[in-house]
Amino acid sequence: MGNMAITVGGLNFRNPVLLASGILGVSPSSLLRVARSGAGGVVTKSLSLEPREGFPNPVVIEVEGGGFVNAVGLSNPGVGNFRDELRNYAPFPVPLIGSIFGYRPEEYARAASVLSDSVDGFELNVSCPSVTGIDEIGGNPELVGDVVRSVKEVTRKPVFVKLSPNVQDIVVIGAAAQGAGANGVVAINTVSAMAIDGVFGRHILTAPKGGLSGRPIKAIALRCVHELSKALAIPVIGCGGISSWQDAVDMFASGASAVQIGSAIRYLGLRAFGDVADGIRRYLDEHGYRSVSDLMEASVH
Amino acid sequence: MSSSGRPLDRPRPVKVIKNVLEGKAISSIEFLDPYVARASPGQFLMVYVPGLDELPLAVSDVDGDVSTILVKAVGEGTRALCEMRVGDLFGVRGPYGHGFELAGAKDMLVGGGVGVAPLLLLAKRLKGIGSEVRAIVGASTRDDLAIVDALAAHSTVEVVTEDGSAGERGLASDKATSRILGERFDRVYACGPEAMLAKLVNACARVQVPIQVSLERWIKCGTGLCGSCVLDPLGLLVCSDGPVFSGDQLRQVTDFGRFYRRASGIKVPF
Repeated sequence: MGNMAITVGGLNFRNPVLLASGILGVSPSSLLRVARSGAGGVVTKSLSLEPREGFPNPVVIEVEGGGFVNAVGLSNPGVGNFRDELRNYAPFPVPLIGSIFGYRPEEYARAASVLSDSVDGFELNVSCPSVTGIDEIGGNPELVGDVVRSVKEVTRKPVFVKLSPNVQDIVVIGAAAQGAGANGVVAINTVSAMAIDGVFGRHILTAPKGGLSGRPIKAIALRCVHELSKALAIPVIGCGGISSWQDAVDMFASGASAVQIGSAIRYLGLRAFGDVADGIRRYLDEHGYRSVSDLMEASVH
Repeated sequence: MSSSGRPLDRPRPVKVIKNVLEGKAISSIEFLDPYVARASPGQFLMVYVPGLDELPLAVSDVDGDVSTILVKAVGEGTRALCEMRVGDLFGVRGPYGHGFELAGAKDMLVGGGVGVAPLLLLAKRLKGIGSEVRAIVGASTRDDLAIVDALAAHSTVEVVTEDGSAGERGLASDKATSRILGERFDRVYACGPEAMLAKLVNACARVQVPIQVSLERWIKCGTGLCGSCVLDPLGLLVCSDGPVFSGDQLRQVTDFGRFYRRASGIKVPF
């Protein structure tokens, strides 16, 4: 039997299929439900020091081909409130990764200090397309380095950086994260997009700029993961358009160490995690791979 | 169309074909949409008010191709919707969620305020399967009552207002509770303020009558992705596991009748 357990950036996952940030991550209860449905690990919705309401509705629309454009606007209950709620759900059955964001490196660091004892690792959101001030961080290698260093100073937990595809060269940003001590990168965040409706004659999303997720971005994600995994020494977690075990295997072949699933939940429900993990397990067995790591090491050049 | 045969989760343009004022600030708005016309009682729509908001609203009635929503003007978006005239454009997506299960030969419906909305379509369908339907409708004042006459076409209706300006003075929850304890119903269905629903769930538990209630939470995506309408501790989602839940489910929901989440996700008491 192929071994599904993996270690990525110092975190041990029972399987490589994780929940992506932004989906079902407002409350520990929903994250626990996702964990119980088979996810190997879960990532919170991005949390900031202070609560944020985000943009007024509508904040998400579906587009043709299995994609969504969202501009939720980083609504979240605040890192302190989330931590307090988490106490009722400890210990978590799978690694819990806290996604955090801020406008300045110090804000990331302060958010990380609040959460550090309550989570197993961090994912730094430096690239929300709908929020001016956050999106810009992810395009600036110096700022990304500063954010990573400031967080690493306050926590010993593994730190991952979620990278934006909306940049000239994603490898430059990934290298800056690695150089500042990041334990891994997650690629990719949503692709900058809009939802303009001709009949209504207006932008549908309030922001109005949003981020495209789901099936339409898989090929972009594969390209980014491939470039990053060839250039970096730290692991790359693949995210973007994964809705089947075949998609996940494509990600591993591109150099990903693990995958994250988000939008596909709209189509598959919470069985997405178990279904994808089972499919990967069968694939390992049928092709004689002993582990997911073997699969990843056989990635294409 | 998405690959699954359902419409895309984006506002479909529809026009107001009729807008009837119910009470003081409540509008019953009719429109044509082929997907909404197939809604089952208790399902909801995300209703897009161009440039202002997108709101979760129950489908209150379906008559052939014509669907109806009931809207109370409480904010900018709902006010704009209430003021729409025939021909004005708005958007709908859905219907979403799990509605009421139709069962029972003698059913009680309890509606509080504008929460009466989904009970009209429910009463119609229950009557259609031969149920004997009794409804209790409560509101603060006479001006806050809606669709009582429409409901009366499918059900007996008793009206209760807090100030006694229409029907009996009192609370729908008290009146319904004494009925539930005193008379045998096969099933109770309710929608309205959560304090009312919590009382009814307790009353039904005492006499072991199945109850289904429709809950309201802050809904953003409406499709089980964002998690803003989560119920602790099980992580149930009002938009996709509900909005209708059974009393048995709700006895495990510690949030029920006690806590809700704001737009930010902060959990606060009712």
